[in-house]
Amino acid sequence: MVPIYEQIVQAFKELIAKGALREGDKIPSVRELSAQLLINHNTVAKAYQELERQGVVASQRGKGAYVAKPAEEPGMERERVRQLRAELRRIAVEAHHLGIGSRQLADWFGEEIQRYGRDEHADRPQST
Amino acid sequence: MLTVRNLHKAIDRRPVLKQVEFAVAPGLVAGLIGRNGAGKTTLLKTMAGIIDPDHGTVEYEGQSVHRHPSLKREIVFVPDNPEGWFGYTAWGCADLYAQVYPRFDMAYFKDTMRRFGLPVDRNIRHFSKGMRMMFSTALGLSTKARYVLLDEPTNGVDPIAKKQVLSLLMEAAAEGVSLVISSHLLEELERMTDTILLMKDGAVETHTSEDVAGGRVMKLQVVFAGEAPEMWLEGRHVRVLENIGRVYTLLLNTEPGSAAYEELQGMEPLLMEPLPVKLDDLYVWKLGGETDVG
Amino acid sequence: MWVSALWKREYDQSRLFLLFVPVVHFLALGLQRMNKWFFTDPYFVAGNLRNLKNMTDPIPAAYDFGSFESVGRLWLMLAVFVLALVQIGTERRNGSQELLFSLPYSRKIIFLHKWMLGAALLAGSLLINTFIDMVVVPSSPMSPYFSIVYHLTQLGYSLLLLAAIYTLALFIGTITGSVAFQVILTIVTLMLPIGLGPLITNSLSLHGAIDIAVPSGIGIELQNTLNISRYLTLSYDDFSWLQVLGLFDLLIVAFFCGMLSYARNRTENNGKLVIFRAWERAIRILVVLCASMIIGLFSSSLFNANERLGYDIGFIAGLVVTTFIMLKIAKLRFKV
Repeated sequence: MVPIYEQIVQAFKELIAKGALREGDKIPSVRELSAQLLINHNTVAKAYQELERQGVVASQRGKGAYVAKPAEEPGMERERVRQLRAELRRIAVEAHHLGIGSRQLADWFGEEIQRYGRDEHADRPQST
Repeated sequence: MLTVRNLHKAIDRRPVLKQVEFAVAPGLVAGLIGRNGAGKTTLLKTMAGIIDPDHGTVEYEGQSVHRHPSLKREIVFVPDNPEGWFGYTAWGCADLYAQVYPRFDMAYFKDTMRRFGLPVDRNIRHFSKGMRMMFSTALGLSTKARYVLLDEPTNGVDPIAKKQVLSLLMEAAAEGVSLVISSHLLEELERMTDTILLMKDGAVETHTSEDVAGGRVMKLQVVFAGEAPEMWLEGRHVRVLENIGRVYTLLLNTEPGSAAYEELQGMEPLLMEPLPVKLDDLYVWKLGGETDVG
Repeated sequence: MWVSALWKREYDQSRLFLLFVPVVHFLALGLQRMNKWFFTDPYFVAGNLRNLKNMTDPIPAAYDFGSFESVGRLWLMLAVFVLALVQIGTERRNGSQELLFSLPYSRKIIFLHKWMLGAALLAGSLLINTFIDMVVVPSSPMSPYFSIVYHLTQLGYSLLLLAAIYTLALFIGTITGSVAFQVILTIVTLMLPIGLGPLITNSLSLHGAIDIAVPSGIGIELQNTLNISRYLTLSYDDFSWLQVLGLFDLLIVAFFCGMLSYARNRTENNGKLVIFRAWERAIRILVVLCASMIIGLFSSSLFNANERLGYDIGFIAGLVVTTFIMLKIAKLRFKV
């Protein structure tokens, strides 16, 4: 089971990827989210710190937190990219053991990319 | 800091509290759990100065609240039913509390009552169960006391009112109010609290909500090679939560003095996967043995 | 010391009642005086005046020896008795006591505010009605016999007596766990000397001790002195400073005992007959003794041959049976 604060981090990332939250949008205060989700405010604060650390949101003093610009340079997020690769490997291994064929897995992955993926040419400068 | 030290209380010669010790740091939310009749209400009432302890103290910033009742300006008790206010309107209650608690926030009280759609000029006696708890919680929080003790604030309350009461509590906590909430809503408490106070046999055991197991208990999914070891499963340090076919879900005592985990490893089971321990697992582990309390 | 929130709560709790009391008091005192001197056939009024003229000490007679005041006192006693029940007994059952105890005030302060409300009720009603009476009398045909000393004496005496009874009822409330038992125990305490006196003197006389107790009248005297309810209807002529001293002592003792036992209130015992074990034991012993004496006297009347032996047999049998019953009852927890 994923810890609650990581669930919050994940949920925000998904909302942003789906476009439900856009760059510059204000995110709820710790107090609001805590009351809304009935989650301890320290847990919410921890999730916000993590989001900020990862550069997903940026807080402005006295004004609350906003959705930050997406990462421009993958090199800056090398650690997160490595984690992402490890996660993909884990999924591939898990699929192998569950007897899921490569094509099936690729199809599913394609669906998720359809939903959350980003068009490289339109949105961001070519990298590497 | 609200500290409970070595608290003892016997009622009708039956010990209800036995050497209760714990502390609630400022700004933290503590969940008080235990079987019905385990003494949760007695503990809260003793902390509020309603019941006198036989031994021990309840201290606010190092001073006994029983010896210095004026300290209770910072400790408010919200009972499970506001009987004492019957005959008063919500308005009358707020008016009286405003004279008692120096930081009473009338604007907050009015706002909250409006938000909940509660009439301020109706007798509390004629409020429904849900309305009563919403009102009591709002009134208790309006005092702006540093500690608010709530006795089963969601007992018998409908889901919508329950959500509203808990939201209000979480908002207050985010603003720095310390809460002690007795409840049977284990799932909610696990997410809402920093600390879990587990009452068993009149004593209180403190667990952090983030890691309720705290290395004391482990949850495993196990498939044994060959026959399941019946004797071992019935042992003192093992509890079977679930058994579907060959798959067993077990709780193991991992406190010093128990070798259950090592014994299991020695059996070389086909599958042995650790699962996260949740609050209800802890509850069943600690309190499940007793079929009846009191 | 003064906490307006506590005062307000006590006042709110019995507001209607408080307004009602002086009115009833007026019906018993002021209105009766007016009835006698204003609304009666002038022929009778003239007769009354003629009678007074021939008396050596006409003032007490003009005031009917305080009989109107006595009726007023009876009503007031009923009022403060009910107030004491509301303030202590009913609060144990309706969550009020728990609410009060959770407030940031000491229990002694809470008790003090309760008592002050009762004292204020008594003082208020007595002052208002004494004042009304002092206006009525000088403007009536009995004005030649107007005596300020009489009015002030009645005022002081009534205040002291009623305050003592009220405080006693509060005190009994602080040791009993329910309204019903507060009622019973208060009434028993007020009436106890009447019943206990004959019971003891009769028991003693059967054992030959009669010569000491009865002829000297000490028994009767003692019984009269301790019988507080007697003072409610005492004639103006019988007031004495010794009574004042006694009532004052009773007031002080009841106040401090009440305050102490309220401070030590065993909240968890609410609903039981008595909330302190020591008091429960004392009351149980008293009940057993009284019941045994009654059974003893009853059985002595059956044994004509040897009344003393009959008494002793009855007494011992009563002792055994009632002790047994009491032990059984003690295990029950009454929720009344």
